[in-house]
Amino acid sequence: MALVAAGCGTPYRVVEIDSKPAAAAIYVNGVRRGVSKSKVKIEFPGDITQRSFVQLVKEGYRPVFQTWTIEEVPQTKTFTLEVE
Amino acid sequence: MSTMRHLLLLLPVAIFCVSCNPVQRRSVQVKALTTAEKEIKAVVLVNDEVVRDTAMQPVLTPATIDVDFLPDPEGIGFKPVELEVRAVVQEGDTIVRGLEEDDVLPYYSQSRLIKLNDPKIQLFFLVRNLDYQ
Repeated sequence: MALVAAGCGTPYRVVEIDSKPAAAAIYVNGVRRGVSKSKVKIEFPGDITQRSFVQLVKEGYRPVFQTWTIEEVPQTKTFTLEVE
Repeated sequence: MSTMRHLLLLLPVAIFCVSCNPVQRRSVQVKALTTAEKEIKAVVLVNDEVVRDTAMQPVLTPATIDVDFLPDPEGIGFKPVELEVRAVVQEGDTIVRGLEEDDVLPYYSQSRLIKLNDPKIQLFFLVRNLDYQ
């Protein structure tokens, strides 16, 4: 599992995000992190209940929204965006 | 020390902290964007109330607002807060649409429940209202 949660520093996981259609902008906790398909780092600065927010957006399509706790982050995730 | 024992020892501290801190305030940055990632002006609502500045004018996005989280009476922790953004139509600096719930707007409103330790930046991507004239 692509996990780094060392004793010091902010715990995070890395997930490969893809989308249908491709080339959707990926936002993690309100910050743009790239375009699908990409591997993105998701940080969890709080406790184990901390949620991270992932949003994918592409013009002409309905945006998608996902929350994950650190335990819920998959290794890969494909989001499907429906036409607006 | 086992993790479970550690958690049990921390539980009274957590309960005490909740009881002595009736309200937790967090600053939240709220932005509204189109699906083309362009910022748009929107009013912000917290638990169905329009957020206003000290002059009682509606706060427009992008904005940093203070959100109060109340203890959850049914458990440990704090109740989530409903955050909503509603795109506005302006004429000059005057909001002509967007303050009333039944206003027809160029974008659909969007809301979500946020928790005390959720990310401080809250983005709302609003979908166009294709019926808007």
